[in-house]
Amino acid sequence: MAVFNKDNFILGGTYTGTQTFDYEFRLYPAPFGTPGGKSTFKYRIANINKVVALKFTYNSTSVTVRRFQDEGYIDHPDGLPLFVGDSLYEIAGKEDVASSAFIGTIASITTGTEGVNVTEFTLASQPTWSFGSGTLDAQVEYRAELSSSEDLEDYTTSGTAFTNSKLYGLNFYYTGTLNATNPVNPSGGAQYYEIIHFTGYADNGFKVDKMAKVFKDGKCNVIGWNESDNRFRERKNIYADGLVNSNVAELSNILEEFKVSDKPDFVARGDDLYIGTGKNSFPLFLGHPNITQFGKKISDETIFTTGPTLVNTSIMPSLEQFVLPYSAGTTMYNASIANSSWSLGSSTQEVVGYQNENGYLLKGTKSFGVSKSVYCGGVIQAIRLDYVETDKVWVLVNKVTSYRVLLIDIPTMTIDANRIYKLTGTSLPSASSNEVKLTDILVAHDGQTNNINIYLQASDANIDTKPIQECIFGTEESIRQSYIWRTDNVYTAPSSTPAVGYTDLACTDITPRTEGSYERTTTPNINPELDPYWYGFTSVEEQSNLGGAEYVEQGHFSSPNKPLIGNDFRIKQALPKRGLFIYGHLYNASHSPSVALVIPYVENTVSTGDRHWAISEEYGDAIVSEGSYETNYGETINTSIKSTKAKIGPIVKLNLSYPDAVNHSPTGNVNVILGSHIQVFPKTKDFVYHTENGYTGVKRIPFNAESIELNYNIEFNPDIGDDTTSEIFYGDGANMSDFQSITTVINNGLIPNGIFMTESSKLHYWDILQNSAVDKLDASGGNIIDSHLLSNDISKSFFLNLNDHSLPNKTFSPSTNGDVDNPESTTIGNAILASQDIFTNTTASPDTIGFASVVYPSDSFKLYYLYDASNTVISSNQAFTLFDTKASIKIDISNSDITTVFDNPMLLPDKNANSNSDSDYYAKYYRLSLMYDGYQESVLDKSVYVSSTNPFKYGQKIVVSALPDSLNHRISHINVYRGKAYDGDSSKADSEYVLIKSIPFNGDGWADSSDGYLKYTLYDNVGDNFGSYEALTGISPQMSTNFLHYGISEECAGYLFVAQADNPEISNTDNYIFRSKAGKFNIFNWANEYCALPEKITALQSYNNFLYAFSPANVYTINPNNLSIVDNMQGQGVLSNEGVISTDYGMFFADKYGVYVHNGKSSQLISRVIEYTSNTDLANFVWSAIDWDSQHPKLAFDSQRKALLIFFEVSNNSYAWVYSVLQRRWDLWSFDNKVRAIIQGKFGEIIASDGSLFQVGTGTTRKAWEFQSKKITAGFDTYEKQFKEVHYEGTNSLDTTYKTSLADSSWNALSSNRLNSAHSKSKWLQIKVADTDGTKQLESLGVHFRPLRAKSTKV
Amino acid sequence: MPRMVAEIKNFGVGIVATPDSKDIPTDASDYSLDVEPVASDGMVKGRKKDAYSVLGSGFSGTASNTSRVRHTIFYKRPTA
Repeated sequence: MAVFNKDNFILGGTYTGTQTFDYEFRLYPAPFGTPGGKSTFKYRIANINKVVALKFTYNSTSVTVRRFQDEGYIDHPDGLPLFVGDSLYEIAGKEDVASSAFIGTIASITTGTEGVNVTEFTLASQPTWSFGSGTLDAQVEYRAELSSSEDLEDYTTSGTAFTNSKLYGLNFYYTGTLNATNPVNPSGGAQYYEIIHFTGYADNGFKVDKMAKVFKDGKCNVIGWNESDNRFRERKNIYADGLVNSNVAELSNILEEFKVSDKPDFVARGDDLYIGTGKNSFPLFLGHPNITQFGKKISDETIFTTGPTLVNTSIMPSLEQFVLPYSAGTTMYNASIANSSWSLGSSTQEVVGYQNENGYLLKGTKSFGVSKSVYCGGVIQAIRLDYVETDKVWVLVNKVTSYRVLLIDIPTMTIDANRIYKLTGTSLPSASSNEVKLTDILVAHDGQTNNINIYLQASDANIDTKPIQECIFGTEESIRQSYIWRTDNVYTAPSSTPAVGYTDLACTDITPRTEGSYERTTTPNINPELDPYWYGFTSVEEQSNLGGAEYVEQGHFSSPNKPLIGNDFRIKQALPKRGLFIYGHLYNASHSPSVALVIPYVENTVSTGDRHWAISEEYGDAIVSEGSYETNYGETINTSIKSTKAKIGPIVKLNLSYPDAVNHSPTGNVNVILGSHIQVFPKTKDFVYHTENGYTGVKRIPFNAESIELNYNIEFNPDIGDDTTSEIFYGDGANMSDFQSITTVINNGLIPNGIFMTESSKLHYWDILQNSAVDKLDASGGNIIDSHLLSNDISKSFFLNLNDHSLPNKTFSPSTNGDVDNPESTTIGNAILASQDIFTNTTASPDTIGFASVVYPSDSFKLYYLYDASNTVISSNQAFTLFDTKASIKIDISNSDITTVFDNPMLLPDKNANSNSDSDYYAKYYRLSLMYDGYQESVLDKSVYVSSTNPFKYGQKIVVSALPDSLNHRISHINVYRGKAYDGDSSKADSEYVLIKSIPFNGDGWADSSDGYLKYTLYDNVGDNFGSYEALTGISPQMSTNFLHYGISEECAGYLFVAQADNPEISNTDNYIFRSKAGKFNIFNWANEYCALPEKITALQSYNNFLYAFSPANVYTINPNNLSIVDNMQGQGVLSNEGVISTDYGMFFADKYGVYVHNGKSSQLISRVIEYTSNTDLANFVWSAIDWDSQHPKLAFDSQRKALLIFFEVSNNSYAWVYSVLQRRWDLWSFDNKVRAIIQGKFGEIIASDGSLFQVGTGTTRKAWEFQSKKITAGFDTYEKQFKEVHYEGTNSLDTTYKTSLADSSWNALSSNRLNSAHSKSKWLQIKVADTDGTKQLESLGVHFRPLRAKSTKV
Repeated sequence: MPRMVAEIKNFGVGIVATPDSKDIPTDASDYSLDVEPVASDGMVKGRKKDAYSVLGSGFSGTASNTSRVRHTIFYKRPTA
């Protein structure tokens, strides 16, 4: 039984704190309260205990608040909410600060505000320091202490309520009985008190760097994006409309995280927001679709999701990468594993993966969809299943500020063994780089030496949208020199997670050098590095009146005497998105693992044409020499000699296992033209990058892509030789630009069993199992020399081909197009292998491999698998099994069971057609699309559905099934389209697809079923035709992408216009503006509806029924209806999308040189009067002085004042130039904090965020102000006057000072309104009036002066 | 020479930084900070402060922006 009644604890006031604090009041009942038997209380803030980083100084009480950042501690830039009286303690295992655990108590705040942002404070006394001198950065425990005791009886009425600065405006009193009988009758040291808790919510925190508003049900909600944590926030009902009884303001909600690659741009349509997030991330949608899904009114909730209208019909989302964990969790290496250990056919088989550009690792099953997820702290770049602990997955994460590697325990979906690593290393790409990023991760175990190393691989940051030939490394750019790294050994997991949240993990760059090398011919030391080199020669062409000649001279390989190195000879090669795999020596075999990397493309000189001759490429400048001479016969001979340098290569020196008529034989060291190949890093844990101390060298295994001419090599045989001989180059230098993914089949051999690789939609398999006793046989029965496969024999190699003279291989087609149901594919999907090694099925005899599984990233999750692919009974045309993921929407087409109705509209147009004969009807094909939001239709799904009898005289029965709980909340309808073919044997429609039914998901017509789906049944037997897909949507049914990623956007004439845009099918479109379909802001017919401009667009603005596109120096006027450029104004522009605004008073915009207003016909500069100044107080604020290169102007319009505000920063403080349109005057305003984002408010006022939301210039009180007059010359600039007195009308005690031409270094005080007589005889007088508290006003100024007689000496 | 008076009565021009201060209109300002551009009778006064009150404007009476009060009892028996 409690002594105190919480209902008698009366809390009052309004909490004004800027942070949310939990208050703990301890009430001690009499007689145990002290002193003197009174009930007493103490209190503290209970949620501020934390670990803090502090810098202590020996022999000083001064302490600085620190923060760990990247490589070390820095002074905390924002400060922490610390309070006087709270204490500091050492943390066990951390830095030793003092001789005892207690370090001290905070005595005073030196810098910052108590409880808000303290950056420096003093201790009440010095402890006995454990360090001898200087300073010490240490992590310590901060503890909030209880206040001193107060008598509760002093605070029993509202008039005597207790308050304190720590309560931030709150107060309380207690109205009940204070002295009660103790209910627990303690004795002998028992403790008893009661705790009253409550929380003060910071109601105005809204730190965002870009924001927008959206009205829903008349209430104004603000959506903002914070750059520092890359998260969106929502603040509902900012005007508190309708709030009467609530005690707590609507708090900011942090919304689900999505990747944002550039500052977001918002466009509102109704109560929906369309958000562009940059070229490298999906646009987003935040809104309230006005639809109903099976009785649920979706418009009542806020939907925040990706914008594209995808045809996702699976309960699993489309995954960028996936793994199929081994439920036993034990090693796959050297283990007896049966195929049944993986239950791919079972409903419980788990899949772990992530969506593209997302931070959540998802775990799900095919029957239940996603069951669990874990946020990885940033955008996931790659995953890899551990092949020893097979229920754990390694995750590579981009946190914008750094890369992290996490190990996730799949059963619990939590961090395993404190393994959160931050990658460090000088050559690692910056996590924020837009050029290069880390995209692959591989883990390799060495059980003999207890080594676990993680390998990271880089690729071009835009590899998803660029051809592989443009994703080149090895160029002159420093960021493109390195592409593979090895971490330090992580065999021992961290014992704890440091307070900073991660353990540093150093990475070593092991990239082979790409500068170009020399051919080495000294045996045995033949080019030990195996670095590529070039062959060069000079081509000479002589012409004269008498004839001409062409010949080659000075042909030679690169050597120290004749080096072919430098920028013309860089080894330029493209990195795939993910090319890492283990080539050999797994786990506890006798050697350490050898990691390998696929290089799908090398920029070489071999053309794809007549490769036997077009093998060279010119470089450098041609030298042309011209002359003439006269013969003895008086004839003039003109001569021209042109010398052109050319190169062949790059080349590597390899000893190949090369097929002859029967077997393979070693070629000896030959020159091999380098194309796509595998780089093997032998014993990778010890691999040494090229230094003066050594270099291990990589083994290169070329893919010689030609399948029939394996032993046909390129011969370079100049017509006329002088100091060269003919040369033979092995291989054809072919490249494999469609490489997608690769992985290894592992067992206990020195080399893994095999490798799987996907190339475009195909899956290749090579059997690379080595038995050192017996050479490998190729498919023709020829021996392949075993030693040439070994990873540590780097100079020996072989061609990895898909022909009979290479390793045994197969090529599968798991799906023809990403969907087994689709017989008329036009787009072949790219297959992606599971990101894991593949086990050996030891239950077969001989052993075969387990399963190969691939996904085809499409809108839905579609995974195909095949067991025992290496088994001889499994042929290349073996069908894969579809991992039958439960669908959220599915469609079944069957023969109509209504046999009384003939499908007469589908009878062939043949007068002899017999309606009773199936073959006299059109064959019919069905495809579907999904309608979003009730009006935005997806592309047509690639899947094509048919009935079992096709054609069929009674038509078709169509059953659509849906799982209501799994439906995307934006989807409102499913549309069923029908195509038809004249020929019943056709495999695809030969007519356009027409809509036969748009089925809403509102519930009407849907029926329950026993399998949990709701079903809708219709019949296609009366020839329904509601228009073709293209006619209805304006988009070709062949288009597979109808969305764009974009950075800037603007609504005009009912369309959404976007720029800085691309999608997976296009790139290099910075100069393009794309237009959405009318009213459908997520739908773009990007192939047809665009406007191309001559330069990159920085801003879009709608004004006066035209779309204006801006560059920094040009303005383009575009007709939004026909996308024509109707005008181009040169000489002014906009630096960013925040630099332009349309109003009824004109369209205002600003560039580096000023502010302009456009009236629909022409623009005018309005900022001339603030361009320069001689006033020192204004010197940093005039337009010419502001650094517009590091910041761009932000424009807003104040409807109350009819004023344009241009926000900018000087010395980290925010200011605004204010242009009052009606008065045409400029004023300068300052702000208390840095203004981060601005929007127009509900009433036309400006709403801004400076960490909190506020209305600009609408308060009830006024700011301190200052006014400086012109330099008053009384009409005579060149003659002296005697200025006597200055008077003003206005509020008393305005601060009035002056300058004259005799005293202009500082402001001088008046004495009884009089100037100092020493200053008074002057050519001019300037007056400054200031009000330091904002309560005063100035009405007029008067100056008494007496003109002096004009004398030349006074001029 | 007789004394004369120069007056500035209307401050409606705002800041004119260019051209030189001697050449700008009488009612212009060479420099000002936080002056209200829309002031009655041509007076100079401070611009309105920024209002952080767009939130919770309907709150009054009992404590605002706080949770409900919670109550727990702490009792620890003495050790033997």
